[in-house]
Amino acid sequence: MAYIEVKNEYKRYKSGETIVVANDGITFEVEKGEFVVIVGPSGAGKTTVLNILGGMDSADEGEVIIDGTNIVGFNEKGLTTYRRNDVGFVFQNYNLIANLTAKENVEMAAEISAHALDAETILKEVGLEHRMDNFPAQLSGGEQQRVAIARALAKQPKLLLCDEPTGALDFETGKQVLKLLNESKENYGATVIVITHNRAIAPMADRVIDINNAKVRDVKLNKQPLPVAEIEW
Amino acid sequence: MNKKTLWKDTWREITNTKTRFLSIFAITLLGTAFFAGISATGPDMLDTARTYYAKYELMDLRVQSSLGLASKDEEVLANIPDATLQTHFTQDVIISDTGDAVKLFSFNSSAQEINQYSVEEGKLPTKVGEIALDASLENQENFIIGETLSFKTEDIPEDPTENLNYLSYEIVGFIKSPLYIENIARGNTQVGSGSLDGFGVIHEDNFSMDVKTEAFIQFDQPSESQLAYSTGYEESIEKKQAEIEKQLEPRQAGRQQEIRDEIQEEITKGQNELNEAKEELENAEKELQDAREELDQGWQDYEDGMDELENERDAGQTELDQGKVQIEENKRELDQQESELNQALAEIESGREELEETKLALGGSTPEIQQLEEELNAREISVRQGLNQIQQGKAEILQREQELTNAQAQLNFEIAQAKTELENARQDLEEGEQEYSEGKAEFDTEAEEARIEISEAEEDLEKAREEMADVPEAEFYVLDRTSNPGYSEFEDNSNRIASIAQVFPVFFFLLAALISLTTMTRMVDEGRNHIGTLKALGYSNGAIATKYFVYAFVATIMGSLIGLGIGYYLFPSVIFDAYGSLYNLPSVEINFFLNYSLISVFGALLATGGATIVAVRVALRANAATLLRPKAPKKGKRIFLERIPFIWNHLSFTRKVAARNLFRYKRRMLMTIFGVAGCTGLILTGFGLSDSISDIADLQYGKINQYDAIVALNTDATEEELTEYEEKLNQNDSFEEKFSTYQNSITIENETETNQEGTLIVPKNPNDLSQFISLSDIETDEEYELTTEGVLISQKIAELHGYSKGDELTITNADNQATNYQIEGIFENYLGHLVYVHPTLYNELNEEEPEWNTDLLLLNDNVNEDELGESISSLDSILGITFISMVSDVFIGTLDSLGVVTIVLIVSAASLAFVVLYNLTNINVSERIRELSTIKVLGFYDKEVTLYIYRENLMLTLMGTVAGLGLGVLLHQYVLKTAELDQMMFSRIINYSSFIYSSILTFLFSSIVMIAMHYKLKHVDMIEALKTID
Repeated sequence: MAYIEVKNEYKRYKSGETIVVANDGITFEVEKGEFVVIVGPSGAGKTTVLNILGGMDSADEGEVIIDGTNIVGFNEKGLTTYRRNDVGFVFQNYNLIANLTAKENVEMAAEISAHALDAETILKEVGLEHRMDNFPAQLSGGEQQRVAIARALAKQPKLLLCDEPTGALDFETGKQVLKLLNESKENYGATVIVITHNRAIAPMADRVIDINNAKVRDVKLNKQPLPVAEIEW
Repeated sequence: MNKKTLWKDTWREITNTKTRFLSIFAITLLGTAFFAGISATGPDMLDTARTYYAKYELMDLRVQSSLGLASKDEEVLANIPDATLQTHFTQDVIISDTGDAVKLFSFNSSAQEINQYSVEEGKLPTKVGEIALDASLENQENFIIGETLSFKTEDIPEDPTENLNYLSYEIVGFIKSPLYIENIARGNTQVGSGSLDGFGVIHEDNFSMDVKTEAFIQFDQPSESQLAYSTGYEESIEKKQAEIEKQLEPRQAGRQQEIRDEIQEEITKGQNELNEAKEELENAEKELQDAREELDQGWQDYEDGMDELENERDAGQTELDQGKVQIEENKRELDQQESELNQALAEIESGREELEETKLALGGSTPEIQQLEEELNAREISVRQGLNQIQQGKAEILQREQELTNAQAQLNFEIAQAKTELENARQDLEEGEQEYSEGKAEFDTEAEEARIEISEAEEDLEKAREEMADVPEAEFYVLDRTSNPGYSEFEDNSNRIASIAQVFPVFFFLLAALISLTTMTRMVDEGRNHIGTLKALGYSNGAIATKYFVYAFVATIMGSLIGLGIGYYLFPSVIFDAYGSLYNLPSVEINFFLNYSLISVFGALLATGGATIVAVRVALRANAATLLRPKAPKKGKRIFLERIPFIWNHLSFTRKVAARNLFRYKRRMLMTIFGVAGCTGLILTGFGLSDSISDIADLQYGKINQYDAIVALNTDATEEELTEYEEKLNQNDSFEEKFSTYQNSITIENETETNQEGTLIVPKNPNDLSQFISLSDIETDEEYELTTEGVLISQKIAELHGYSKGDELTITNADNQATNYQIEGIFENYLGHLVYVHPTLYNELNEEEPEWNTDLLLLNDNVNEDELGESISSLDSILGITFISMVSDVFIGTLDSLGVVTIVLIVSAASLAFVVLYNLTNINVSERIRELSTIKVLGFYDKEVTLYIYRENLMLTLMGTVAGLGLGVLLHQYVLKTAELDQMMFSRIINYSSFIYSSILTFLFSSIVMIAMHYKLKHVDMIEALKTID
């Protein structure tokens, strides 16, 4: 059995009188320690997949099995606990807490997690040794995203979910961030799922899931993913 | 603005941001409701009383006279222009079973134009023997419609039988009178324990008095000066009062003369009666004398009669006896003559025989013989004739004998008859004698009585003459409405609320402005993008700002209009209800006040409008490009606390965050602190007011005044009367000690401040003063001693006039004599302005001994006040006795009602606190929704999320509360000074419990708000919040 299994997952939103089907029987699998890219155009339903995988939203139908546990049907509290211990998030706009230093931002996640890593160590790992006591506003976008990644990694998540992590960054910084994510997979054995509309990122993934129009169109396994440095867009 | 879309946008803004709209709406609603409501309460209360007075035609003036109102007095009153006059009898009585002292008013349904009664139950009396009672007596078990009550006639100073025809009455109804708007106080009386428990109304015909006791006058006036409690009214009435007093002046002596004349008439009548009685007595005596004389004459007559009878009988008998002797003589004569004749006859016979013999002898007759025969015959004839005559004489004698016998019988009869007559006369006389002696005895006793009566009557007359000489001039009392119990207190109460209305609403408006400012600032912040877009589209600043103004104004106008409605209705009703137990007035009149409405609506508009200008100005100044870029998030900063590692390192992580957040949003921090502080301050002020007010009674009547009763002495009383009073006191079980003082009304003068009315008190034995009154410094509690150096004055007057120790105090007495004293100390006192003077000092400065006119009594614990009151209130030596317990009860009653006002304050402040806290927290949450969503996504449980923000709130609330308690103390002091009446000082102390309550309440609201926030945060759409970046 795969580490993550999404089977026939449906998600519908009510918008006034019409019902929008965001996920229409999504099915895919992810193995432990894989770097996965879910790619698709805006509005394809990939963010919904991420929300459901991340326990921020729950599926209407189907199964979402993470490491043997089906999180569909979890209540708010169950989902929160799941997020707390098993999921790391990296957002497009970092969502760091402005009032906390880099270190404190990481500590905040670590503090509530069951099996967290030391904040300083992680920050060193992401190369922010000297910026640990800086506030987010004092950091560049790339640095902020690194803090966000460190924050996500600190809790040793089963799943590292990244929503357009490079969306707000320039090319070079974006690549550095991708590199960092890729390294995290290797260094921490994290299962990384990156959601992006940027197909250029796909070649670096172990597995590419193509979502379009609320359905999985294609799942492609890369036997030989490209190193980040070779990717261009 | 014909930019339709912009209007549409504004409208949508309102419907889409209901919470924000509601917060402005709510705060203006609260502010205006509170301001308008509290402001309207005082005037509404007065208006209610006014309407009530007008409806039941409350008199403007009441005229009483020490000698009763005679018809000429009434004439004077009736001639007052533009006024209605109504006179009636009154009599104070005590109801037998219950002992209630009741003032009876005479009633005549056709003449009751002034002081009309409102019938609560049953009806007014329509005939004699019916009574309608004070509705305040209705809840007593003994008073039920249909039952009969009767009045005490014994053991009371004024026997009602003198003035009333009937003494028992059937209860026919329960009524209220506009004279008595208060529920408890009914004024004082000479009967019973000294104070009236109620009033009663009986038909006029029940009274047997000659003159009316009271007159009510009501003026027909232009309406504005008829407004009770208005200065115009008071001035106009004062004028009329003086005018009437002036017109009644000649009647003072006039009435005196009338009474003297009446007494003179009585005296004359009495004198006449006396004279008649004397005359009668004399007549009776004379009659008795005549009777004696008559009787004596009778006896004389009787004796004479007896003598006469005897004489007559003797004379008659003698005559008869003589007659009988005569007859016997005659008889004997006749018998002699008869025998002589018969001899003669026999001689004749013998002659004849001789002749015959001779003849024979001679044988024949010879002429001689013949002659002889003839002679013999002739003799015989003559003898025969003589015999016949004798026979006749005998018959005659027989007849006479018969006549004599008859005469004897006649005489005997006559004598007997006369004797009977005399016997009768004697009997009559004896009866007369009997009657006489009875009559005399009777006369003797009656005369004795009559003489006593006469001398009594003479004494009475003498007394009446003295009385006549002693008749004083009539004293007329022209009293205005303030003599009605409760009339002035009601005004005081409404003024107290009015003064509270001057202070509190300002705070409400400040807080409302604060809330509007934060809300509008947030709105503008959220609308940055929007403003930028509009700017980019070419809309003018004015057009853009319009949206915010319209938004704010719509909320404000709606809020303030509804607030006005609620305020005008709710506050007067609730507060007036609180006074309901104290006053028997109808429900409060709800009025609309244009001035308060305008002030509150414009005030609110100014507050929110001002806040909007402040909020919008910054945004409008920036250019479109800047606005379209997201506002850079506030930078995180190290705070001061981090430099103290000792503390910082010991704080848990989340606490550090909270601490840093506090200082990151300084403005919000200050606003929250200020908002919370304002509310806590208001709540504390409310509690503090309640403390200050409710403490007065305890302080004044417990701590300061130790005595239990005040006795006003009659300074004209004689030594004996005073001794009697002291004996009565000493006999009473309740009495412990008394303390003589001189008390007099004075005016305390001041050049800069208003003169104040006060009381001058001179204790007879200043050394014992502390046993009865404790005069001490409010700060140090050190007890003052009254010295000959200077006077002690109460604190409030010192504050009002700005006196301190060593200053000179000028007071004038009722005769306008001014005296200067040096102030030796200022003592704690809450009611009235008091000046204590040492008797020696008083003597020195006034050159006269004070008249000890007031006694303070100490009573023991098991005191029976009614009994004590009854035993001495009727004494001539005392004018009245007042028990502190009763004064303090009435006072506590008033204060309790004011307590409700403070509860209204507390509730209003509390609801304000709630709105403020909710609003600030709400804004805090919405400003930081991304942050909160982030930690939510990171896996913070709902509770942790709430705590994350609540920690800050808790700290802010804590700081706000501490600041608020300080603010509350200041505000409390200020409100006290404003709301205090001149004659009253509130306790300046706030109880510890009030601090605790205020803090607890603030935290309670803060918690409630947090609970509400908790649910709101729980349902925050974190995905949405994280997705958008604006």
